[in-house]
Amino acid sequence: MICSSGVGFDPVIDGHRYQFDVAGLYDGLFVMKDRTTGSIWTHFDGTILTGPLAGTGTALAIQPLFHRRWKDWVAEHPDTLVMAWNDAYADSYWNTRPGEPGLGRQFLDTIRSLDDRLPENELVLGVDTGTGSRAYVLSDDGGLVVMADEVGGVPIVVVMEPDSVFGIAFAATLDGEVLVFDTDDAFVDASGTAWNLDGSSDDGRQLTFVTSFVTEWYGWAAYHPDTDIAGS
Amino acid sequence: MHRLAAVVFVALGAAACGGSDELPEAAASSTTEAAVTVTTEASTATEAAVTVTTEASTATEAVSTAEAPTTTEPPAVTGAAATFSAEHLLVGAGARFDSADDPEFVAADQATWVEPDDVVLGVLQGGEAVAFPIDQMSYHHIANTSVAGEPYLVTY
Repeated sequence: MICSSGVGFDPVIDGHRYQFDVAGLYDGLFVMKDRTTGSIWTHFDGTILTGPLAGTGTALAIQPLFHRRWKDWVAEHPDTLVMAWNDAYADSYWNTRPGEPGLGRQFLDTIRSLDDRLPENELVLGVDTGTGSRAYVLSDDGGLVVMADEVGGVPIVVVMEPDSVFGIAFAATLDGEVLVFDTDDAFVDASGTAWNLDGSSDDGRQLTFVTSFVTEWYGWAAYHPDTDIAGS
Repeated sequence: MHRLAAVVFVALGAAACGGSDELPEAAASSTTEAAVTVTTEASTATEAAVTVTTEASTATEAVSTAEAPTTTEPPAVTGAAATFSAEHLLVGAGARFDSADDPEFVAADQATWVEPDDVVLGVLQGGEAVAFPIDQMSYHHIANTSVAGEPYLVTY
């Protein structure tokens, strides 16, 4: 029982670094309380539900966070550091499998509406361009999948590797030009430029990250009731 | 323009996303009160009656509706905050999970507990890469951390 949604944020807003603790549940996803004001923030879109900062428009900016199997991550980033094992929590750490079926009743009680277009625990890449949102199913085992798409009128490129529980989206527009991605199994554009999974190219260019992360369907649908589903 | 303020008291059990398959009895039975203030703004449009006199001196009366003058722009509230439903907020599980505060990092070859097929949450920032294994993050849920000296917030 877990939402399988890893979301990264820049915790600095207007020069102040916020730190957080888990505070409870909303829409089947945990919410967090900041230690400065005690406001309740979602960890799904970084907005504030209630508390002193509610209604101020304050929100955390989502940053890229790469769901990846360790073997793939360390192959791509051999100098990576790893969050150390903390023995104080040895009994609390547990073997976690993203997308495991099941939702507890307490989870369900906090969900405003369940969307049955997909199984609730289906892993998807959720993409939110600000003008539209779309879910891309990760469940089909397989290697790298690259697809050009348009969400809410914004041209994007979606990169997924279901075998590695990985997915991310970038704006396809760079320097005013819409790049063409017509190869579906390699992250290469029509001009021949090869792109890395973080949106960088060897010639020093960088695609712009579009809000996107891997999550179970129920959470994405609850927070994005207007979302559509790729391919349907 | 006037404000309606409704104060909603919600008695809630304790829980959080993930952590274990079943919530412990103690956590499930402990009840926390959360005071949630919901403020709604109701703006009453001001009606302005405008009298127009035509050149032919036949007076006609036109009534138009004007927006109430706004003194301050309301903040842009987006996302989940814009549709917040207090009855679906379950508060009170904070004590069950400790955030990872400025966790120590080790080199990849020292991370012997991480299996090849384990899933990690990878951060790339400032030329550095840091992996947060989900087996640890599914307990902590939150890492208040820094990568390459710059703050970063990992949530799971």
